[in-house]
Amino acid sequence: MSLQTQEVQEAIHKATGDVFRTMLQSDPQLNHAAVARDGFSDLSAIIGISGSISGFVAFRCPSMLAMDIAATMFGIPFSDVTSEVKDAVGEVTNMVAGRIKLELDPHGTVFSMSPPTVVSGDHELHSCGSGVLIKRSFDVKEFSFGIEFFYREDGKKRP
Amino acid sequence: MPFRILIVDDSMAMRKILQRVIRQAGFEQAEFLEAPNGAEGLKLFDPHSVDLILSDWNMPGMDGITFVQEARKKNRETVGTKIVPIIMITSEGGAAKFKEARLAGANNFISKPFTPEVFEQKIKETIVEQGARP
Repeated sequence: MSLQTQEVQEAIHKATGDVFRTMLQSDPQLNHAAVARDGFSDLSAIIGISGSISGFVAFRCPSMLAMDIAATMFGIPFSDVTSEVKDAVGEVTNMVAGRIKLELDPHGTVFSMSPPTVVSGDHELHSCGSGVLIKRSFDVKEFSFGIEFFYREDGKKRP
Repeated sequence: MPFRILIVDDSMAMRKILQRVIRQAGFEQAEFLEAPNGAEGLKLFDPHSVDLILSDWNMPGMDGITFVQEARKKNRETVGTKIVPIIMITSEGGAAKFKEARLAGANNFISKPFTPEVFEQKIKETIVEQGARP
């Protein structure tokens, strides 16, 4: 049976909440706009996935939130998007993707994850080829951020 | 001698988080050695002076599993040293990963994200089990 959109959405919500609550001491709320607003983010961290599904998990946020995340992780303030800030956002994305993987595992969906790639500045993400793109938007503190999950089912699920 | 902890993780952010969480867990006087991958970690690992190793799983160059295997081998071949406890930390949890880590020579396993409380419990149970000095 195919991976259901609702299963992925629930995995994203659970994973995102767990990572922010435990590692960043904040509680993100689902933004009921249902999809991430385009143009609100200038920093994206992307993790490729490959296995019974392939695609990517992306964390998209404004620089101010990225610096806030890094400040929480490192315990010092940041006023620019330094390599430390990008590293922090990459690590958050890694944890969210890993948690999504755990949440989807009972559905027989298995995949490996690439190291995170971080893109900053004016950019857009474009998924080539056919697949399902799920975007979820969250609010935390005074910021919004998005999680994007693009996948297509390539291989056999685990029985 | 301070309690010396070797942290092997390619993410600088995670190395800093681990140090903060370890201090919060009651190891205020701990000293830290940091390596961005397994190969560098192996160079820094002196079984005479390291009391605990924390290792990531996915790293460029030498990955965490290979590092744990090599560190265990170095530990065994170094005369007059105790078994240094190793904890693997990864965002890709699950029973199969835990078993693989154990087979490689790790003593314990922590899934990311983690709370300071879970981290404290895992560290303490690991060093008590291995008889390392807290």
